[in-house]
Amino acid sequence: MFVYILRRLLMLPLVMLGVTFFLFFLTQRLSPEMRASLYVQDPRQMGSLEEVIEKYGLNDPMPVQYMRWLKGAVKGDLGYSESANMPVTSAIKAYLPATAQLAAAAMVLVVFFGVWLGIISAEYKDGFIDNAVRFFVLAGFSLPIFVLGLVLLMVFYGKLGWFPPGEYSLASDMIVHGPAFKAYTGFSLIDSLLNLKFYVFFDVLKHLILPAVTLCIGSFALMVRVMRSSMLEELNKDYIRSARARGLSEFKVIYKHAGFNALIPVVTLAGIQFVRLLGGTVIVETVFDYPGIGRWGVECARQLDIAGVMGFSLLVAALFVLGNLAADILYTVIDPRIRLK
Amino acid sequence: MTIKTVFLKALKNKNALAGLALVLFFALIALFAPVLAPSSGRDAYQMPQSGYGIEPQAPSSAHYFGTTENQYDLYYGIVWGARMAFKVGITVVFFALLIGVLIGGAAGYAGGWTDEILMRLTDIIFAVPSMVLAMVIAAMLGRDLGNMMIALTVVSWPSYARLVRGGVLSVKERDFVTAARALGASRLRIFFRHIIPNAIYPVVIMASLDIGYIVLTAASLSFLGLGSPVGTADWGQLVALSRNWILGGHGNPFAYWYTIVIPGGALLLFVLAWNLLGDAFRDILDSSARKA
Amino acid sequence: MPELLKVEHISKSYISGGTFWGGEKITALKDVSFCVEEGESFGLLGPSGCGKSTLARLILALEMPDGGKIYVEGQDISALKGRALKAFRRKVQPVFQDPYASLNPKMTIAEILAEPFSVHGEHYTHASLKKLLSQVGLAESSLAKYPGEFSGGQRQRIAIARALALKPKLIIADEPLSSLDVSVQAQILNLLADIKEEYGLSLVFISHDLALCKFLCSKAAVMDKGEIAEAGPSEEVLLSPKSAAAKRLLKAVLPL
Repeated sequence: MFVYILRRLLMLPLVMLGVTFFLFFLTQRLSPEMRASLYVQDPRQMGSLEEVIEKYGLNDPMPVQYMRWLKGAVKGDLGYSESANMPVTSAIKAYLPATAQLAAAAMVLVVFFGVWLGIISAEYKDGFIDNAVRFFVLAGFSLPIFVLGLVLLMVFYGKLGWFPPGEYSLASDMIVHGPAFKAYTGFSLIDSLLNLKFYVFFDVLKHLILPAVTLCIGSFALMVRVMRSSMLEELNKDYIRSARARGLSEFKVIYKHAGFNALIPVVTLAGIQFVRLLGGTVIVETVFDYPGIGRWGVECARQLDIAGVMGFSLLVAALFVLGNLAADILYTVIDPRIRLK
Repeated sequence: MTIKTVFLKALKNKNALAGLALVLFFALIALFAPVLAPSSGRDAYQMPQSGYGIEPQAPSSAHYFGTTENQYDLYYGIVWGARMAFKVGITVVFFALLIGVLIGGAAGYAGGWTDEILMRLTDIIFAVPSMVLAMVIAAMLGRDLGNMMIALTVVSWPSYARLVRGGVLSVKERDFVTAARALGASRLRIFFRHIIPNAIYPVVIMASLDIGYIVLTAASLSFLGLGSPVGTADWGQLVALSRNWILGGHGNPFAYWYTIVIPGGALLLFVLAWNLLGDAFRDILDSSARKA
Repeated sequence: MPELLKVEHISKSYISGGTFWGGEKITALKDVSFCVEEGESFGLLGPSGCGKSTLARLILALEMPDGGKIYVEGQDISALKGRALKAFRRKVQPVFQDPYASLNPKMTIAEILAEPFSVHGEHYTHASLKKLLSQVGLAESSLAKYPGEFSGGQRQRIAIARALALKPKLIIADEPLSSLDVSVQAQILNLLADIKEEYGLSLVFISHDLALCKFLCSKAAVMDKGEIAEAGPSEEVLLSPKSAAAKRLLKAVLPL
């Protein structure tokens, strides 16, 4: 087990090297001005084109250039993101909390509704509810999230005016960036509570609902399916039969006994799904104009902000690998029958 | 289990049958696109524009589904978009499979260091969510249909490579492979004549069913403005053209409903069709693998 | 009679559960020696897991021994490479235990039987494939069919036909009967005996069945835990065994 974790952790830098080397290779066909942003912290440092090419060796062989970039990157110097108008590391610090908040909200929805729907479809196996749930789950899985996002905006913002896009309203923006507001954590949901600005808290929550719902749709399907089959398996076991025979109420049997044990595979899946959501944030944040890592990544890609693209990919890859590892470890902790090799 | 029995079994499933019907429906539209929506321009995938007005026009006899922002005809876009979806899906699956079979096959057959290196290569690609990686690659290569397909191929092949590798590992120890070695057959001959034909069929089925997912990712890229060039008949792009109009106008929040519902609906049905099919096939392949 | 196959002090071991940190070493063969003369049938007997199949793979040059040498017609087979190795392949051919696994299910019988010829760049005709089939008692109509359409016994006939295609001098038959029905076993056994006469073949017949061995082979060796416990004329080994391993094997299948 320990060896397994160690090996996976050793894989991390290897994977990072691979990802960045591949992307660095792709950048080579872009212009030197674009590539120069990988090395500077402030665009005013740039100077003339010839100077930049000379200074950062942009005509050197690719491996030499890569090593130079790597040396900087190891020191935490990831260059300047033009689309964010700040150094890449600052951009990550600025955008990551919003995305984490969004992914966490989506995850709560996925787990809560996924488990609940999984349980009721198992309870009424092959009945009307089961079939309806299965159909909606498959439809939800097939629904392009940008289409869903736009339709939700059309209804809940255009028609009903309930849930606007963005991270918070203008009024909250003034408060958050006002002198009295202290950014303790960077998470607007938590900071607003710590500052006792409940207006901001509910405002942030209001802005969070649509993107979170949209984001969770794709992950939802798998969660319901796994919970359903895990629940069915559990309901067929002897201890459930004996609990029923002892005359325990059906509610107690299903929710207390079977439900708890059936949760084991769901927990692991939740870990993996959380990581998967990262991919979805790219689209959801763009649709809802939500200022997180995903929207920044799309902007970087659109504007060919090379430093931004590299930093963004590096961050996502690191989160992805660590997240998957965490899910694996969680699995063994919860279910001691599984032993990692 | 032969391909035929897998098919027959899958088609007993109502969902799979519905999926198949939908796929065939789209295939017919794609096939007869030149008849259903005759093109006047040189490149049929380029949507015609009627006028330069910015505001979408509601469905009428001139435009069955209405027009989008910048007066692209939605009907034309949907019909040729179906053809585009098949073109992108089939091309990407074909090349991703080809690469996956060669690399996964080589890894499984050669073993040792070759295997280790090739599999770490797939790890690297798996380390980034495929949507994100495809987006970054497509962006760096430049906005172009071919580049988008390259990006999608790059992110798709590793999963096929892993599946093929698994198949090759189980086939290569079978006696008929040993018999061919004892005959003195070359490694290439053993690989292509004996191992690959016995290892790839489940992977080919799985991969073909991924067409829906690939078209969805392609549409997402186009939606983000990183896929097909401006004006291409592409469902993702049509959805993107609706973005400025979802709040409606003229006092009606749903005034431009058709700009989002029609291309979004086409995309949804297309992906749903493949998922319905895929679900049934996966169940059968999984259970037959478990029995074996 | 000149010696065709000579096995000298062969040993072979495997690492099981191979991981980065090493695994358990398992000795499959330990100092095994015997020889087979031209036109002779040699029976290799022993319980499962005694190293018989490993020995077969080594004689077929599919794997290399850790120590010792194997000679075929006086040539050290571990030294063979390229063209010489290919020439060796023509001389020694296998017949496997499980006829359901030894034929490629995606190839027709014609393709399976043609493969030995095309691998060795030899000309063949439809008639030559037909003749091969008739030698093992199958009809011409079988050529267009796939292995899945045949019974186990028929498949084993096809596998034997494939082994015969290159007119080998030695056939290594690794438990060729043990996955067949008893009635079919007799047919295949007779087929092997007939073919051996007709082609003047040598045969290494690997089995755990003493009766079959006695019928087919003039010499026999009993293996136990990777070593040869006893060897000699098959009558002698099988009727009055001296070693404990041979006695044990004999007892397990009484009455003979």
